[in-house]
Amino acid sequence: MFKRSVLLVMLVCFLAITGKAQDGSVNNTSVNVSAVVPESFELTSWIRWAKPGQDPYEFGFSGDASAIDFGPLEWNGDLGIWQPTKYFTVFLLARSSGRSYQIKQTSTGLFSGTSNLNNSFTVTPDYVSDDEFSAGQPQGSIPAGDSYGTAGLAASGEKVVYDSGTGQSRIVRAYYGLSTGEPGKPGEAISGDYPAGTYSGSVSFTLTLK
Amino acid sequence: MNKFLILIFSCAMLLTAAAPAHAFKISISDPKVRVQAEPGQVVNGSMRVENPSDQEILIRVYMEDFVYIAPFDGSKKFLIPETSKFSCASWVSFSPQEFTLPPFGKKNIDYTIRVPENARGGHYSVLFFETMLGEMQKEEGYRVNVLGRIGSLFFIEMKGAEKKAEITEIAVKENSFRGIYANTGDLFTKVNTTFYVLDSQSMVIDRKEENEIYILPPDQTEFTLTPSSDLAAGEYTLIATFDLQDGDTLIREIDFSKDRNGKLTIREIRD
Repeated sequence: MFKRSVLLVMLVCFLAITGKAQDGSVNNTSVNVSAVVPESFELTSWIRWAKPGQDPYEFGFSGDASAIDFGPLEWNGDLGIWQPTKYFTVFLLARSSGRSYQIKQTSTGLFSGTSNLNNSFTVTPDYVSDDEFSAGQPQGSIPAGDSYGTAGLAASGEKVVYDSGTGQSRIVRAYYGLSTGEPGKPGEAISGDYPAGTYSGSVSFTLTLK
Repeated sequence: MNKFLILIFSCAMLLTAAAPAHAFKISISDPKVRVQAEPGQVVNGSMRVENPSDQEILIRVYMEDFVYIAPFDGSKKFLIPETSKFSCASWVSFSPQEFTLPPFGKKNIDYTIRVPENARGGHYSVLFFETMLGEMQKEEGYRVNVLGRIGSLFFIEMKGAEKKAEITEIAVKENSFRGIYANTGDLFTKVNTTFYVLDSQSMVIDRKEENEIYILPPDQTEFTLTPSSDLAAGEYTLIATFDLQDGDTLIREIDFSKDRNGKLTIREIRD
């Protein structure tokens, strides 16, 4: 009996509410909608190794890396030089909430005691339209007003990797390799005269607003 | 079967692209800190640093100096602290100087700016937050560790210091008007340059925004105003506005003519 009364009250309420909503007597109301997009300034970076001539994401010829680790070099008897078996790509992604920014790189170079490979250690900035923010979302062509830097020796002072006048987020690449002395490209080959040893150093990327 | 393999391969490639195993991410709340202060004043502040990644990162915090360099498009040179004549690195103390941020962790960095009694003009340094990708290892071979740093630019300017500029040597060069912009004041200046062109009926027929200039005193740089090549032969007035921000502007009016060969000739320049 009690259950039946409760159900009856609920039914009456339901009909009263729906009836009022349908008879046109309800005034239209507006609801304020607002959202705040916080300003952010963020740098993301990751590294891939790849075999010479291969894309950094070429299946079977590339992989993730935690450093630019050339490992033991191989002797090329034909050219009479030491050369690495892979090159490295540092990917950089800046987010600046639309404010113009610049990414620069510096390097200590590669040292082993008093010897160094600084005239062979090269960097080549690049922009690839097909690089994806997320799966299936390519970044598209470089925005007008943005530019990327030129190839050169990594340990030759501060080098611009990417300059964004538009402040748009973009993925930029910096390829690192050891020169084979190819004409028209920066750097000199590592000849057999170089002292053996462990060469190490660091590369540093700097993101600031303009 | 081949389609199935291609699908598996494509999925693997996309996942690899989207989620690198080794990556660093670092984010700060205040990439620019601008303070107008009196000599002797003490200013306290705070900014937030975040690790928006799923990997723990070690962060080192330190000051350096910076100056804007040619071509004055916002490019900077970073310097050892207290080596620039504009340095305020020694005025800023902060804490902590090194810490670990867990995945998706945040931390506030508190700073105090103690402005010296004899401070004049503008002073500029940068607070860096630096982290490293992966672990430092000492292996045989040829190894380069990768560091990333993100800077908070400090602009500390004394109340009453003046923005001043001079615009000189405006001339025609290669179908453009070029001149010299000189920062003759006490402060860094970011200059937004825009212009519009009026025809003989005072109708606006061309409008353009040129590259921004970022310049410290007493540096000077060349600026370029390039009217549209579509302008027909005739007489025009170009009105250029150099917006120095905070309500300060410089204006130059250039009366010029364009002949049938496209050659520009300046007739008069007015302030």
